[in-house]
Amino acid sequence: MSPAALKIDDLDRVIHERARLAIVSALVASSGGATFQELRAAAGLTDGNFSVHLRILEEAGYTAIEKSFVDRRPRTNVRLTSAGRRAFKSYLAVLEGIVKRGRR
Amino acid sequence: MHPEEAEEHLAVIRDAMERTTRYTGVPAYACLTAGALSLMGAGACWLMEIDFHSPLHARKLARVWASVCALGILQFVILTVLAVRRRGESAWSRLAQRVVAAVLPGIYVGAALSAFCGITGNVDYLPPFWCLCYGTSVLGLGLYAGWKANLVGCLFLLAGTFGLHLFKEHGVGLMAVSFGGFHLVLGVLILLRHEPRRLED
Repeated sequence: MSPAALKIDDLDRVIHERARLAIVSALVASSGGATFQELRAAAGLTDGNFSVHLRILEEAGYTAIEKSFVDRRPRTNVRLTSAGRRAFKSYLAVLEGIVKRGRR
Repeated sequence: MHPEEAEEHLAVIRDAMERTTRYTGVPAYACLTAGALSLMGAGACWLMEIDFHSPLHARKLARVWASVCALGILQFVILTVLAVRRRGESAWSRLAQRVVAAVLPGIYVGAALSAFCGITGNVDYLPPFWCLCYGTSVLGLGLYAGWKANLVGCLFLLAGTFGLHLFKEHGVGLMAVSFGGFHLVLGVLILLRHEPRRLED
């Protein structure tokens, strides 16, 4: 298969969108999850945008959200599920494959 | 999908991962205040005519530099927490915990050496020891905070190394240049490079 022959359908559309890819990548880097604010800053998104993408990831079963109180302040913690981690690994493998084939 | 597009997506992954592991909590004003406090400590030693080459001055030196150290750490913690909270982030995030874990060993060794030198009266080598220990801690911070902290950490290590051989008679001067000057350098570097004023690449 030529590099260009790989269609968008071959990639995980949930992760493929850049904002969601940034969120998932940030979660992979932060073992144990991250707070809403930390993750939003790492992904470089606004509050509204971030919430929308986070909901899509949650609906796909890639992230899980836990709400708690720390020092009487509400804290939203987001973590990557095992399905999300698997999806990220697969996505990364596909991307690397495309880049390698392109270099040949 | 073309390889160029795939590379762009890989860049998104790399950037997001780097941002997640980059600590940006240290404000410029905390570094500048730490530098000013150290210069004040050196000034106090100069006014009191005390230096590290005399064991007779050990108690006065301990009082001056313990105060500088305590005030320095206190203002650093307060200003950092305020800066991080202003951005709506957690001051005790996982990243902050990792940074503290990277910084603490150098601080601990410095404290242990200080106690030993204080008890045995061998205070003349304390300034270069402090530079070496603090430099190690700042390099620990540099793992997460980037090149500015790495640069200043290396400067502390150099000052400590040369201090062991060359500046034994000028401990207060070494403290002024290193803890005073290098903190000011770090503060100015942060101020010059970025808005909001905090430590990042």
